[in-house]
Amino acid sequence: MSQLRIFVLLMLLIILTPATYLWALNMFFPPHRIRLIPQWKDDTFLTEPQEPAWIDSNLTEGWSINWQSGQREGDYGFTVKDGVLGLYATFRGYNYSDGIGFSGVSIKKAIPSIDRQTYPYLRIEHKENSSDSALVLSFSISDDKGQWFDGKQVHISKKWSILECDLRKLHNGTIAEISIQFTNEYNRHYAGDIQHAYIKSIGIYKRNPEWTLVYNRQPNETNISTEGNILKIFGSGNLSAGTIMSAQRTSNLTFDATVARYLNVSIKTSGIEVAARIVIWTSPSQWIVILLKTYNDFSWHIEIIDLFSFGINASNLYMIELGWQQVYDSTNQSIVWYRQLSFNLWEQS
Amino acid sequence: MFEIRRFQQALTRLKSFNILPQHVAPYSHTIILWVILGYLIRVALIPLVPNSDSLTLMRVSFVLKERYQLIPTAYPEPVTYLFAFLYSVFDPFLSKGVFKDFFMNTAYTPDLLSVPFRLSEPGLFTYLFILKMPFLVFDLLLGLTLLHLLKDHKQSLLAFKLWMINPISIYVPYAVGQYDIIPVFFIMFSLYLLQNKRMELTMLSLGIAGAFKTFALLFVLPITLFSVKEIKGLKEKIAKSLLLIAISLFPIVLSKIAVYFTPLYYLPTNIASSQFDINGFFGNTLYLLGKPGSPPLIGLFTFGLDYSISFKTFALFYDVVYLFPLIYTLLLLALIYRKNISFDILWKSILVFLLLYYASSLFHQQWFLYAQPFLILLVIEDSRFLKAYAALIPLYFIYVLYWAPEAVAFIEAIGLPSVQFLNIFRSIFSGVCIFIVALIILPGNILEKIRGKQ
Repeated sequence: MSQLRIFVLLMLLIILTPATYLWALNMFFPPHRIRLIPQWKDDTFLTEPQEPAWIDSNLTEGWSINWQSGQREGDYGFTVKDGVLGLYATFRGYNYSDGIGFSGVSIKKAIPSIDRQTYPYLRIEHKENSSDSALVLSFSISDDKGQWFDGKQVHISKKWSILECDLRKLHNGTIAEISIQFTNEYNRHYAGDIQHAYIKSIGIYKRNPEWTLVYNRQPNETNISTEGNILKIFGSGNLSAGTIMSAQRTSNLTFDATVARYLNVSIKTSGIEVAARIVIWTSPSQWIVILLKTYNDFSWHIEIIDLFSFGINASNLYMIELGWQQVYDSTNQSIVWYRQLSFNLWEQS
Repeated sequence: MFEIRRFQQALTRLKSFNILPQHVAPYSHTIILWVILGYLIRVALIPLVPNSDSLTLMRVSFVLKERYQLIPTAYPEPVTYLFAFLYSVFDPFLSKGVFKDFFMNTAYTPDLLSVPFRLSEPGLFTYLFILKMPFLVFDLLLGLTLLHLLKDHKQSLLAFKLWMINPISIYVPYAVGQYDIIPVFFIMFSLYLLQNKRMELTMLSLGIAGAFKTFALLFVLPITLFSVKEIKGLKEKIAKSLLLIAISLFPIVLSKIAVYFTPLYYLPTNIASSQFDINGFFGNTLYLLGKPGSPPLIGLFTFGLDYSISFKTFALFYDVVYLFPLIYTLLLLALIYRKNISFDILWKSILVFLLLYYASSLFHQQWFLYAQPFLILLVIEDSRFLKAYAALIPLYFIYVLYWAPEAVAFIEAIGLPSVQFLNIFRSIFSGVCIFIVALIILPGNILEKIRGKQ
C-alpha cells in the first residue's frame, strides 16, 4: 500500500509539475510580440507614367519642320503611319551649307500651357533604324516668348526606348512649344546616308514610372507592368538558363537601411524553372544578391530578409532590383510577381 | 477458473516486478529522491532556453504532421516521425501561431531570423514541453541502465547521482533541445544487454540508436568484434559478424522503407544566403548545408571529415590524412589484435575513441553527450579521473560559446579577442581529453612515474 502511495504521488508529481509550470508561464510570462514596422514601402509599383497633362500618341496633327541643317530638298522630312511618326534625314559626311559638318532635322509642335512644377516629366518613346553612334535624338522646349531651351540628348537605338527628362531642370516658366531633333551631333563626318527615327508617343506627366526594366539577355518578348498594385515581370521566347530580367528602382529611397533593415515582400513565380531574384545596390557599382529562390507552387510567398546578414549596413540604398533568373532553359514564358515591398524596423512589445 | 488463475499469476508477477536491480533495491527511497531532484531541474530548464535546434526539429515534425510530407534535413527521419506522432496526439493543445509562417508561406533569411518570431508566439512553451518531455523518459531510463551496469551498490548509486546532476546531460537535451539522449540511451542499453550476453538484442538496440543518430553506428563494428572474439573458426566468425551487423542495420532499413513511402516537402531555399543556411530545394535540386546531394552522405562528409583535423601530405596530389577515420581505424585494430577483450576494455576503448575524437575534431555541443555515461563509469571505477573530468565540464561550457554570438560579442566588448580566447580554452579541453586517454591506456607503472611515485 505504501508503495502504491509512493507511486501515485510520484505520478502526480511527474504530471502536475510540468502542467502547473506551463500554466504559470503562459499566465505570468507571456512572450513579447514582435512586429515589423514599415519605414518605407512600395505597394503601387509604378511602371507607367501617371496623370498626363498633355500626350500626343497619334502624332498626326500640329507637327511641322522646325529647321534643317545640311540637308537638300527631299533628303529630310517626316511621315506618320499607324500612329508612328517617322522622321528622316540624310547624312553624307559633309554639310552643303557650311563647313562645320553639323547636319540634321528638327520638327516642332505647339502645346497647351502646362504648369511644369506640377507636371514635370517629359517622355518620348522612340526607336531608330540603326544604332550608329554618330546620331543623336534630342529635344528642346520653348517658352511663351519664343526662347528655346535644350533638353536631353540620347544615342539612337534599334529597340523602343524612352527618353525621359525632368523639365524643371531646364526652365521654370511655361512651355509653349516642343521640338525634336535628329542630328549627327556626335560625329559630324558621319556618312550613313538616309536614317530614320520613329516616335510612338510624347507626353508630359505628373509622375514618372518608378520601376524600369533591365535584362542581361533579351528574350523574344519582355516587359514589366503593374496589375492591381502587383509588379509583373514577364519574359517569353528563348529563355536560356542564367537569363536575368529585373525591375529597378532608384527614386525616393528615403529611409535609413541600417534602421529599416528587414525587407519584406510577397513573391509568386510562374514555375520552378524561374527563380525570384532580389538585388540591393548600395552604390552604382556595389550590388548584393539577397534572394535567389524557386517555388514549386503558384502561391504567394512572403520573404523577410535581414539586410545585415548580407553585410548591408549602408544608411542610403542606391537601388532596389526585383526580378527573376531563369534556372532551366525554356521556350515558354517566365513570370514573377511582387507585391507589398517594405523595409521595416523591428519592434518588440 | 483457469483464466482467473492465469490472471492472478500475472498480477503476482507484476507485483514482484522491480525495475531496480537487486543490489540497489534497499536504496529505492534515495533513488526516488534523486529522481525527483533530477526531474525538477530538468523540467525547470525545458521552457527557459528555446534553442534554434529544437525549433528546427519542431518545425520539420510539425510539417510532417500537417502535410504528411518530409523536409529533408541532416536529422535521420525516425525522430521526425516520433515527434510528428506526438504532435498529432497533443494536437488540441498546440497553438498554430508558432508555425504561422508555414500557413502563411513566410520564409526568413537568415533562417535564424525565424527564431525570435516563433519565440514571440503564445503557445511556444507547450511545444517545448511536448518536444523535451520524452527526453526525460530516455534520460531516466539511462540512469536506470547505469544502476544495472554496475554491480556494487555504492558504485551504482554514485553513478546514478552523478547522472542526475550531470550538467552536460541536463544541458544538451533540455537547453539545446537536441534529442541525442535517445541514441545515447540505446547505446548504453545495448551495453547492458551485451553485459548479459544478449547479442542480438544488443545489436538491435544499437541499430535503434543508429536510426536516430547515424553517429551511433560507429559503435557497431567495435561491439561486433567484441562479440565474435570467442568464436572459433573464421567462417563462423564472419557469419556471426554479418548476422550481427545485419541486425543492427534492420531499424535503419525499416526507417528508410518508411521514408520511401513518405513524399518530400518542397522547402524552397534562398541560394543567395550563407552556406549553412542553404537547406532545401532550388529548382529540382535538393541542397543541404550549401551542397547539392543526398543528406546522409553530406552529413557524413561534413561532420566526419570536414570537421576533423587533417594533414595534407604532398603538394602535387590532394592527399589528405583525416584524423577522425584514423583514430577509428586504430580503435578497430586494437580490438582485432588484442587476444582477450573484457567488457571493461570494450567500453574504455569506445571512450578513448570518443575522447580522441573530441580532442581532434570540431564537434557540435550535443555530441559530447555520448561520452558522459562512459566518463561517469570511468570516474566511478577509478576516482583518479575525477579531477580531469571535473575540469572537462567547465571547459566544455566555454567551448559551446562558439554557438553563442552574444557571448562572443561580450568577450569582444570587454577587450578580449574572442576567437583566440575561445580557442585557448578549446585547446585546454583537447589537452584534458588526451590526458584522460593517456591515463586509460598507459600501463600503471608509467602512470606512477608520471605521478612521481617511482
